[in-house]
This record gives sequence, C-alpha cells and structure tokens, in this order.
Amino acid sequence: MKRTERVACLLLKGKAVPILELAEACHRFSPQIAVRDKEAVFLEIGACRNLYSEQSLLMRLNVLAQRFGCFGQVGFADDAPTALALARFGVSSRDKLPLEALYDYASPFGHDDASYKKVMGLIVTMHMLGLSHLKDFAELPTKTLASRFGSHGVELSLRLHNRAPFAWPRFTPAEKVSEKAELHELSELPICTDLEPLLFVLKGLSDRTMARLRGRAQRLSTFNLTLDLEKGRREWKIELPVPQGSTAGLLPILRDRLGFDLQKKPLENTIVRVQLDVVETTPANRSQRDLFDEGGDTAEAWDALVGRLRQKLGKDSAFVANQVDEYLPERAWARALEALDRLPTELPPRPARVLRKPIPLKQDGQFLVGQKKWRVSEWHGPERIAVEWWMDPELEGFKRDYYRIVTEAGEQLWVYSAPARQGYYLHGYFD
Amino acid sequence: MSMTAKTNLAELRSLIAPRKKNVLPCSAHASGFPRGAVSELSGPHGGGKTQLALKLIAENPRLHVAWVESELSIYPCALPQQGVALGRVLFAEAGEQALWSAHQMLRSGIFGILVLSPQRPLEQIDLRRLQLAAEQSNTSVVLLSEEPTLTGAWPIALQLEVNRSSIRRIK
Repeated sequence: MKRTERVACLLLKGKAVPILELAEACHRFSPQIAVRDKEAVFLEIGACRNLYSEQSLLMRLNVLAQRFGCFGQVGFADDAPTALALARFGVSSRDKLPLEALYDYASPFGHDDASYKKVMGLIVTMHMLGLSHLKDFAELPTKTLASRFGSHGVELSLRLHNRAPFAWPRFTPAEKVSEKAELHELSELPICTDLEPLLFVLKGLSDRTMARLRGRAQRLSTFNLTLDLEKGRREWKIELPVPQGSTAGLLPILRDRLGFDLQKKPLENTIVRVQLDVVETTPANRSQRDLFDEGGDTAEAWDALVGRLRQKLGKDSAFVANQVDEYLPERAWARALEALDRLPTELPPRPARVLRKPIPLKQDGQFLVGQKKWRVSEWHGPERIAVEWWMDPELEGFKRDYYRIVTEAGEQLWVYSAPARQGYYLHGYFD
Repeated sequence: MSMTAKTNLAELRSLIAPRKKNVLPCSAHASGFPRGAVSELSGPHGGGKTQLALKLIAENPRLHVAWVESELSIYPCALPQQGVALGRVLFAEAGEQALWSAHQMLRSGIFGILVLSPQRPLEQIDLRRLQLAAEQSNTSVVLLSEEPTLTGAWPIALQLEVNRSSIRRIK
C-alpha cells in the first residue's frame, strides 16, 4: 500500500533561534526531519498517524519550542511547501493562501535570492491580471501558463499541485550535545550566587539537553557541568548512578550533589555562564512512546527513583534481583538495574529470609539452642548442596545438608550441617 | 443533544466506569489489605509474616512493589516460588535511611504495595507521615516487625499478628 505523505512544519519566530537543537529534539516524533535556515523545521509524519494525532503533535511542538526559548506556528499539509506556507500565513487551508505564498513553493528548504526575485516578478504580473489568492492561480488552465508566466510559472503550478515534489535535504545533528546559558544583567535569567537560582537555570539547560537526547533515543549517564564565575571557574564531572532520561530524574540528583559541594565550598562570586556538556549516554528505554501504555512514564519515574536512591544510599543499594545459577544459596541471586527476562530457576523450597552470616546452633536433645531455644518437632530433608573443589576453586569444595525444621511453636527454620564442621547452623527462616 | 441527555449520559458513564478498589484482595486474610493506608504484620522469626506479605503481592500481580529493609535479609530466590515475579519488585537496603527511602518510593507514585521492615519500631510521628504519604499515593504500606509497633496506634489501619497456626487481627 502506498504511504501518504503528511508534513508538519514548525515555523519559528525570533532572532537567535536554536533551530538545529530544536530539530534534533524533533527526531523524537519522526525520523525524517529537514531544516529551513534559521526559520523552520519540517517533520514527515505520514507513517506516524497511528502513534499520535496532529492535535497532540501541535501541542507537543509548541511545548518543545517554548523549552528552547522560542515560539512558532505549526502548519500541517500533504507537502512541505504547503505546510510552510500555512504556518507562515496562519491560515487553515491552501485556498486561503495569498499569492505571496508562491515563494515558499519555489524554495521551501532554504532562501534563494534568484528564485525570490523571479517569484516576486510573477506575483506582480498576477496581481495585474486580477489574481489575489493561490487558489486563483491554481485554477488557471495549465495550457495557458507557459504563455502567460513562462517556464517558472509552469514549474510553480506543478509544485502547487504536488506533481514535482522536492527531495528532502539531509539533516545531521551536532556531534556533541552541549547547552549553555549566559547570565548577565540583560538576561531574563536570575543572578546566581547560590544553589536555588542556579537550579532554576539548570532546569532549563536540563530540559533542552534531555529533549535533544530523547531525539537521539539516548539517556544521560555522564556529563560535565561548568560554572564560569566573574573570577574563576568551578567544574564537576557527574556520573549518574542510573542513566536518566528526564529532568525530573536529573534535577534531584543535581540538587543533592551541588548542595553538598556548595555547602562545603560556597561560590566566591557571581556566575556569568553555566554550561552542561554530555560526555556519555546509554540507549533509552523506548524512543517513541505508546500513547495507550503508561509503561514509558513508569520506566522514567523508576529510573529517576533508583538514581536518587543510589545517590543517597550508595551504589547497589536500590536494585532489582535476578536469579543466578550458583550452588551456594547466598550467591544464587544478584543485584541489577534491570530484571533479566528468564524463567525462574527450579529449586527446592527456599526460605523467605536468609541470614547474612549463619549462626552456630547447639543441639541439646530435642532442643536447638542459638539466640533462642527451639524445641524441634519436625525435621524435613536433608537437601544436599555440594560443590566439588574443581567446580568453583573459590569455594574450595563444600558440602551442606539443609533441613527445614518445624519447632513446637510452629516456627520454620532453615538449618544446615556441614560434614567438615561440627554441629548445626541456622541459615534462614521460612518467615 | 439536550442538556438532560448530556447529564444522563455523564451519570451513566460514572455508573459504569470501573471504580478503584480501596482494598487489595488476599486469600489468607479475607477482608484484604487497605490501599492508601498502613498495615502491620507482626510475629516471631519463621512465623510466616513475610510469606503473608508475599501472598498479598502474588495475588495482586499488576502492582509494582517496593521492598525496603534497613538490613536486607529477604531472600529473592524465594519470591518466584511464592508466585512473585522478581522484575516488579524494587528492593532497597537503606540502613538508617529506611523511612526516607520509603517516602521517596511512595512519592514516585509507581508502587501499589510497599513493604517496610525497619530496624527499630517506628515513632508515632513517623507512622503518621507514612500514613499520609500512603494515602496520597494510594499505596498499601505493609510494615513487618517482630512485635506490634504500638498496640492500637491510630495511623495503622490494620494490625495482624501472624504465626503458623493463625492470623489474629489486633486492630
């Protein structure tokens, strides 16, 4: 089945528009992006109709533009020139476009002086003929165009009817992701002398960095933060405990880290520039979101939470557990960031609680004595767990006979005896 | 469409919309565990309180679970045997920061169940804060302890004393 082309054009207004960075962030919505110099970003969305509606894309593009400190108009059409013209003239259909929109049909992906002059000449002629809208030009019989407007007129007519499509220029994002903010008296940003206003500035930088990384389907794992002061400079290289894909995850970590450092060594004078350079990234959980599934949001919130917990509690303190094929019960699981997609290992019943260090027990007739005196009513087992010395040299070969013991009070203990050592050891509870 | 028809349609929608249950079902405790509240399971080591918590988790397979302990003694290999997929449980070994960790987890809004095994009994004010956080996130917080924290403490909605022969409701 032939795919229908559909184009969204974000036309930006303002002087210093970070168009390349914004286009990079737009990769999140579509893999096919083109840029018109300092002015507009085109997105081919024909294949994305099942992922989002045009209405929701419109809102998302507006939010994204605001994040990059600019605002713009969005136009949707079946081809790039019409989308650009609709965004530029703020009308809803091609029929309402003025003749001046012809220039966008002549050169949609970049400014071209020669074709601009030619089109302007044609427009003057058309006005003299009483034409005022693009619709009037489109309705002229094709046979008469060459004699009235020459070859350029015919070419424009073909483009107007989408019969001479343009090849989209290739867009290549910058190699490095780097964002900076200049803080001076004329800037809208606050004067930074301590943490709170600095976090305000960092939020903006982080928003833009994360938007660009999302466009690349990446998450942030290591970055450099540089504060240029009136006199001097402070630098941090921050390795995140868990890669982060959103500002909500990054900002609390930055707050903790900078808060601690700035408390120890406050800023000597005012900050004039803040720069955030991405050093290392990891692939994102999912490059495009499924609108009917909240899984993407949960994954981001999960990463943010684990990052924060690990920052505060230490590496490996917050984790998911994965089973590992090891004989020694204490080594039969490992801490990880993500769960492995594997079937659980078949094992005889295991206790819910395992002691870090087994406690030696004394046997006294029917009693086992440790921290407490238990009267044993049932012994179940043994289950022999043994590793020969050549299977795991670290363990030097061990043999343990495990028993599930039911006490008179109903408690269930996991106890083992080791032939190499005398007596019993309490290793866990079926709690 | 007239206003009356619109109103009736809205009423109809609200009537047929699935309602959020405020109780998590658990076959071992017929009245279930309240959501947005703190429950406590107490009993001796080996008495079966962790198994009861695992049963609750296994019987609510759509919920993510946070498991916070001061010193980790839970044995993850036992979880799949009780019907709990390891991938939906986030463990935290939090030392002195167990309460802080629990609050962070509740605030994230990801978890339907949070199991907390603190180093020492919680103060009344900590319990109250925990209860408020649980209420805001609509999470069922399950405290595990050897002795009941405070008999009849008002921030705890459900207190059960667990041993192998019975589950006794204290509150």
